[in-house]
Amino acid sequence: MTRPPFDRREFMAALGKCAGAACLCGGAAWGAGPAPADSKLKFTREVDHYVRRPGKQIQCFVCPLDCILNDGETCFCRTRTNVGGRLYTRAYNNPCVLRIDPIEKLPLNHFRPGSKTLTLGTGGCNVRCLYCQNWEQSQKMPDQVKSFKLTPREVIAAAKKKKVDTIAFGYTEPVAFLEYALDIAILAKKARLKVVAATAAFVKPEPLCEFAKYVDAFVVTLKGFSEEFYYRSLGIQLAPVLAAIKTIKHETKAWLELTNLVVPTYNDAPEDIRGMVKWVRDELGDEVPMHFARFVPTYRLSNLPRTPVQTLEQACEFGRDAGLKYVYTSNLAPHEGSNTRCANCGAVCIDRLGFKVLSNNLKRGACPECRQKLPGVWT
Amino acid sequence: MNTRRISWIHLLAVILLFFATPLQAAAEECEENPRAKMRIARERRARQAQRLISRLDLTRAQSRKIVALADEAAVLHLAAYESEAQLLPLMIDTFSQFAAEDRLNQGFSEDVERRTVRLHHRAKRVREQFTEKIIELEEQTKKLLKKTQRDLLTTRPRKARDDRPERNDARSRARAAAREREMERRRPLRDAREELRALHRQKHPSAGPVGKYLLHPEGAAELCKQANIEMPSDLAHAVAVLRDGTADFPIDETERQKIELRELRDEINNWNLINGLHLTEDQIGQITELYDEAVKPDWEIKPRDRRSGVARDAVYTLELKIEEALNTGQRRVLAEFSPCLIPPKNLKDPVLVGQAGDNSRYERWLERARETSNKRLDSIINASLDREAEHHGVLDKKARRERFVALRKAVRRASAMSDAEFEMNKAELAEAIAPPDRIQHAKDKVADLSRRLKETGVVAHFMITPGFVDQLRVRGEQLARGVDSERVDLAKAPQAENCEKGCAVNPVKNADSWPKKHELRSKSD
Repeated sequence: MTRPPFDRREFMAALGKCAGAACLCGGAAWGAGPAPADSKLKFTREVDHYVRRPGKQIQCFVCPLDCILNDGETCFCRTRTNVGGRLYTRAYNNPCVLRIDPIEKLPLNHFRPGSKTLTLGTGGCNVRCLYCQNWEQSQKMPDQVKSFKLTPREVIAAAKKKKVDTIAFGYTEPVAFLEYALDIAILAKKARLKVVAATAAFVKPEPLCEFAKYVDAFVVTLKGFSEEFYYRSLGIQLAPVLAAIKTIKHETKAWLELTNLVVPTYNDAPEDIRGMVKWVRDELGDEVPMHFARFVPTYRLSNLPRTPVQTLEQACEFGRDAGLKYVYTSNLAPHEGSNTRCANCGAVCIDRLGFKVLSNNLKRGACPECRQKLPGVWT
Repeated sequence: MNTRRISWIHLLAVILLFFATPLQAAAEECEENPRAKMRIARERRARQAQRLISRLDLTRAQSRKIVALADEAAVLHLAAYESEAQLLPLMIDTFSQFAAEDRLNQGFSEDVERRTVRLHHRAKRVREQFTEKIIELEEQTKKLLKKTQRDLLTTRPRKARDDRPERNDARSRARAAAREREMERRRPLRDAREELRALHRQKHPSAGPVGKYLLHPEGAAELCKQANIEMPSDLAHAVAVLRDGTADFPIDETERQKIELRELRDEINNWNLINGLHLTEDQIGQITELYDEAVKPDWEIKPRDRRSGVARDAVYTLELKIEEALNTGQRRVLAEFSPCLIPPKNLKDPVLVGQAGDNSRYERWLERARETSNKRLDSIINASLDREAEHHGVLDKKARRERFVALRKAVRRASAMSDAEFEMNKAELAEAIAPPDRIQHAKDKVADLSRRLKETGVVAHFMITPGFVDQLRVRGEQLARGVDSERVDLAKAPQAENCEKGCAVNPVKNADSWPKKHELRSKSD
């Protein structure tokens, strides 16, 4: 009688070993969840714009706050820390927002409509809006939110892999992670990708100009039009923002669109909106697209209602009365105000439903009816 | 001869006038009086029960057993009635506040929204539990029936007209052929509508004819009468309550409240649609004008009127004109609209408007599942499939197995990705595993076929009603009036943090949490 290759006991033992090994391997694979936010900042980079002062003190020159920090202290933006007399960013390689979005979501309506962006944002912000729509990320330090470790090179590779040809910085303030955004933008240009940024523009001219060299389009949130509102509700000043917007428009080649989140009873006074649109027309020209976005109650102003549609329509009316050619409603769908109409003949050139382009009728950037060229970047 | 004819006509006119006036008064009374409405509904139910009883041709023994089950059902009816009566005043109060906020179109206050949702779910639970138990009793009742009797429940009764001997002249034959052709032409639409109804029934199960008519106290009373059986006490009590009410069950008041609640729900539905469409002042003006032009004062549009040819054609023409006044996005929103109390995400979130559906639930599910051990994964997938069955209907064994495999594959794919990769791909993965929205698909099919057959569609269904147009006028006035937004005193309002007392935030006390020198990159690197 021939002996079987292995008896029952041997077989069971082998099976047990296999099962154990499988469990270990499987367990390791399945257990690999997101790594906890690293308390040790392994992905830091030194900040470009600061000066050293005596006694390991430093002064940051990225935004107009000019924070003066002792050793171990962090800037108002929560992202730059004085480590032994040198200023390092905690946001580098630490995006907490990583999404593929329609470009209309920034909102950009005159820049490659219908295209997708790989949008990044990190924790931290140098503005303290009472009504921040992304406060869960922006009002925390980069290492206090769940983040994904991603170097600039990996960002570019990810964009290419997802076949997205635009990288956007949004959701939170790019000024807070300017060093990271700049390095990504430089690599993106080399890889022939477009770069866009949504910002509150509370930034000093030098870092802004350095960054803008690599940016194709900016969406600036002009949050209101009074110093009091800016100071009391955002904790910053209006004048540097206006100066930065003018810098973008007149000293860089980037495409510019403006957006204003209309907060009921805070910044919706007709005289403020009229003042704002008049300033836009006088200082930036009548072809800068202006978006009036609907406020959704959140953060410290969660007691307020949503912006009435009438208020948004009225704001658009003020814009058009002031002579602005392209005025939009945002965060409101379906609404006529999200369509791009020819300023000459009124024909619908781009039909949108929310952030989705339903039809783009532009012919080489011109109105399909009267052939009038529309300002923007269309290809 | 001539005189005699005139006198006949006069007599006929007098008779008509004599009957028409009280008839019209009665009809008007029905519109207003809840008791009259109840009576009509009761009589209709009794007629249906009568028909069912005569079709089934029940034996006396069967009737006795069915009456015993109906007695149990009567207790359930009374219990459901009692729970409903308790909830009604609360619902009216809360829904009124909800409707008032809906009218302003500025979102809902947290408290009102929470109370509305809670009451809505409580009422839904009462209804569902009641239906579940009635269905159980219905199943028991069906077991008492013979197979031939059970078969009768699933087939449509032949209309009395069909029993008449067919005339065989050419005209009748042509008419019959035309009718047949028309039926054939409309068959796809009828099938699509039936498919949609079946999907709705799957999502919200309801009792069949036995539960609806035979086990209802009114039907059971009819059965007792026909089979000459004495009504059991609970059944008799339920019949008394549902007919005239008692001191403990004031039926008039409850019915009045039910009507009020229904009107409130209609109002909220309309506001939700109006708010979701974001019609401009011009569009509102255009639509109301079109409606006023088409609808003459004596031609009130009601669902019943739509069936008559003239009104149906007029409504269809009006629908086309109104549709032209809407933009593409608004038409899409309308196509996806379902009457609702709390507006769904794709009616208020600009990211989701006009999108197939909100897949964020599946994104969150994938996020959890990819972190789960292999051992627990199967149970998580099964739990998810059970939940899905509640919303999208039960799948057969093979389909469930296929779905299980697809979900497991998606989770494995998600687990193999890095966190960053998953973050970028989760929307796509979720979209791939989200079950197809069969109801929306069926709705689109019905809409498409209706348009091809020149039948009225969603615009007529939701927008061409007096209630909707009245509310649209209110919205038009609101838009014309504008908003008087009082400016808040910024000095007294919440203050944003600023740099007045120094810019540094969260000074780090514990140096250990900081990176070592070699982990930092300097500018020169």
